Amino acid sequence: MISDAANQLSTAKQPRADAVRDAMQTWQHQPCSILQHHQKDCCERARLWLLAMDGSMRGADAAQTGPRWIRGRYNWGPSVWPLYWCEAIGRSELDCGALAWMTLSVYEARQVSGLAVQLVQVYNDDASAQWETRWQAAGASTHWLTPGFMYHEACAIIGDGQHLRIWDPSSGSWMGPAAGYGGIAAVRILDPLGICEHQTYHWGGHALSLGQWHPTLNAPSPLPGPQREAPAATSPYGFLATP
Amino acid sequence: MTVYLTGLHSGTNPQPGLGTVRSLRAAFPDARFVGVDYSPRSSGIHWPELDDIWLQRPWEELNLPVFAKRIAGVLDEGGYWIAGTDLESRWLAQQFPEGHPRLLVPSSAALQALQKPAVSAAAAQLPVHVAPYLATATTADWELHAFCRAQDWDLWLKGPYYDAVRVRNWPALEGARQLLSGLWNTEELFVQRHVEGYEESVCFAAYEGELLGAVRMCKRDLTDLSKTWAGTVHAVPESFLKPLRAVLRNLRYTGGGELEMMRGMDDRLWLLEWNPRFPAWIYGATLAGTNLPALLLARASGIAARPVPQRSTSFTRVVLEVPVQPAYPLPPLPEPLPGVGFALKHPSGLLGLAKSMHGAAGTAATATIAEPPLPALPQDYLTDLEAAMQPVAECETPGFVFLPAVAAAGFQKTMEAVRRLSVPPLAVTPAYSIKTNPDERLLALAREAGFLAEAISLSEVRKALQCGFPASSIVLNGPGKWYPDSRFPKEPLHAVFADSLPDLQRLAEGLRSGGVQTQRIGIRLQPPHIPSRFGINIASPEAFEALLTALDALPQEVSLGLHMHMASSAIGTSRWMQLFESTLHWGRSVEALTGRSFDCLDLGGGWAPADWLDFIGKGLSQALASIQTHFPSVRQVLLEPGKAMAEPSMALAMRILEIRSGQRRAEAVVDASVADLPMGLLQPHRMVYQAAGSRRLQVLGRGNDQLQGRLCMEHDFAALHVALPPDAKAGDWLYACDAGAYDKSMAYDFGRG
Repeated sequence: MISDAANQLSTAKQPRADAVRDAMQTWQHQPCSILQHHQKDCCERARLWLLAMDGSMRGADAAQTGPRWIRGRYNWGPSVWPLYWCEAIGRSELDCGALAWMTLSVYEARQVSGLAVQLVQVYNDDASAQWETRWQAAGASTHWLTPGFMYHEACAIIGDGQHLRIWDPSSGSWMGPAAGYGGIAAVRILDPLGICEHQTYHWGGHALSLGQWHPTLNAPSPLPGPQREAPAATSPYGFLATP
Repeated sequence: MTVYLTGLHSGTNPQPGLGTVRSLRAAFPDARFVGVDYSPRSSGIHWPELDDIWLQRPWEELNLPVFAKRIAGVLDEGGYWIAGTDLESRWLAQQFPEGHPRLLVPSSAALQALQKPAVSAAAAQLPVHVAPYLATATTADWELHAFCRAQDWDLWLKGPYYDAVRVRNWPALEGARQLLSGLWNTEELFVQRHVEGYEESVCFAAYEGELLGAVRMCKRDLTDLSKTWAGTVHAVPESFLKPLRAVLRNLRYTGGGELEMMRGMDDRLWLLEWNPRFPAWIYGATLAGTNLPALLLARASGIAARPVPQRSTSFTRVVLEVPVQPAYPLPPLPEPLPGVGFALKHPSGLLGLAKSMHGAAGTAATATIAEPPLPALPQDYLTDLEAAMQPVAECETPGFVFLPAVAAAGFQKTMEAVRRLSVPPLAVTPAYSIKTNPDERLLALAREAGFLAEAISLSEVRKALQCGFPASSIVLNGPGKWYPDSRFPKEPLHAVFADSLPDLQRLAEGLRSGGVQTQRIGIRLQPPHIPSRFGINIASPEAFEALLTALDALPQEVSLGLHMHMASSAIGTSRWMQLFESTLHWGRSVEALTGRSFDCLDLGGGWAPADWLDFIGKGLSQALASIQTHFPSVRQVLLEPGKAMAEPSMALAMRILEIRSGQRRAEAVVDASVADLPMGLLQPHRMVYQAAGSRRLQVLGRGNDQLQGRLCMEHDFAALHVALPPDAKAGDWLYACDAGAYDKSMAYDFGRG
């Protein structure tokens, strides 16, 4: 037991490429989450409240600023789908899909071009077991869990030169390429709002085609070295740094 | 090879000495490293990788010329010196004006050119921005307050070397200014706008103008003091390296350096400061494969450094216990000072070094401003004061002096501006805020100029009626609008704005019963992002739903208004405009969801007079354009200037009762008090002096003198920082200008028997 626990506690090993492929296949047909609308006042009031609230909370910050206030208001937790705007708005916790859709809606209102992002992230069995118990207790689906991986949703905003910044509404932070525990094994970008002018975008040194899963582990990331010319500069948050 | 390193303390605000030693040890395992420090409290003197410790007395005790000679001897004998503190680097640069091949610090010229906040040598060439800043020593308080308002009171007060205090209002700024100028014995502080974003640094090593290497570090974890606790290390883009090389070449820079920057939410880089030394996290760069201290030492010495492997592109810190070196036992803690605690900051006596370098010893009182800048005071102020002198001389002091020309000019300029901007079908109408100063002379000026009157109670409504305003020219706001007796005038008011849902429901009921007569009902919204007790809560979907339901219940024929109100003098002018824009957003949502339209927008806010003139000159036309675009149904925009009109209209006259000369400042007891000037310490007041028997008026600048009030209250001051004329005496006059708003209206009778 102790050795098993020690194995579990050790830093998550890099998943094998075939495991990542299997995970991508698991969620090949998974659409991105979209909050439903009753086409009645109830949902429209909820939606307009969120957008007006963002107008206040953003303050004078740039339109691209991540709406961290949403995460401040809603804890990350289970949601039962289909989920309507009028139901979601009053909850104390929402899952990544609801948070991502809210965020995408906010960016749309700010006139910032945004895409839905689907991710395969690396976690250990302890995490999966905890989430499974919690989601089942709430009557929510656990389809987003598979051994060693989780399916997660975020959103991206499009910067210059088709470079993306991925905002994780569930943590209130920008996501960069990373391996290990919580690392990103694969990414897929989708255009539910129909705003894309291009088919390919760039993030973290990867070229991402719309609608396709891309494995992202084992990709090169810029490393410093003595008197070495810097490769194409990227910030830790995945976009091309333009100082 | 022997290397001397300073800045060894590794506490909550660590110095770079240990990180530099670790980096150098990895590259020069056989070198001798001598740690130099100025306090036995420095934790780094116990670090096991140091070969020796050269412990000096604290800086405040050191005989600096003697110490400089010893360092010269060390250098001449072949030792290298890497300084770990900014002040020490500056001192060394002064002691060695020609430099020294083994003194690895920048020159005085380089340090001067890189002095914050301007960092002029770098900012102009590097792809960075510098946040707006203002030097406090060369700016009058009046203009400084204006700068702070323009920066939305989101500022830092910074010292010339260390320490930065976040300030969000005038009393906080004054307190911080007192603290920092006392600590560092200088008035040369500056306020700088806060930049929100993610901290990152570029760290480099250079020798005689040649860039040897550089890395970029992005903070990934911070201490409570915003110091680096973890970070990722990256290459520096060529777009940054190229101008950095040019800057270093121009300055013939030698040593380590760190450009501390903030990457703003808009992705722009803001340069906060240039530290002329390696940063405390320098070993993190070494772990990532770039050993900058080693590059520097290798270049200076000509001895090749052992390459270090790249172990990770990220680093984090942990807390380590190390054994105390027996030769340097831990000193005991000093007795805690009541209310202060142990006060262990700067045990090395850096404050003493700063005092020595500033060339003056003593207390903060000696850190005087050589020539205090004078606040700009328009000629019409002085003209009005001169005209008021004779009657004032016969009056009891303290007493308020009315400045009629100044007062009238404020109302006239406002009406001229709003008439210009009122383009049919949109009318812009100012409403004078009675509560700011209900003096009937001001109400008369307002009425004659064409203002409406803005009231916050039925008492004020009656006052307005008595002063000749028809009911149709009165706007009623506030949570106390029903005070004292809930009896509304029979004639319809211009507008009544509800401050809460119960208030809205009561008004609706009043409309139905006929007890409330008004041309329109409106709602004031409570901003969800700025603390306020006023307005209808909209910060939750449930609260918003309740508002919509209440509006749905209003009779359809009732005209609807929307009200926002926040003092721009308190939150800043940009934040006020942002609040305006967000109010429009809320209003659009309400219109879309209720099917109703607003025909009136009421934009309230305590404006400083200068900001008000700017607003009606420029900002208001932009606001009106937004309104016309997003609210085509609006026919009237109400403005509520109170402070802007009233503040300049009166000055508080007072006499000096007694002058007590302190050690280095005058303490003048005056017959005014906090009861007469309740805003005295909450915002600056321009001060004018008049010697008894003279007609000459002299505008006063900031200084160390105090105006102490007549009351036996520790907080009773009329001014804390004023430069009285050297020959000021009992019986002389002083006028606190800018006292016509809440100073006048909130003054109270106290201590007069």
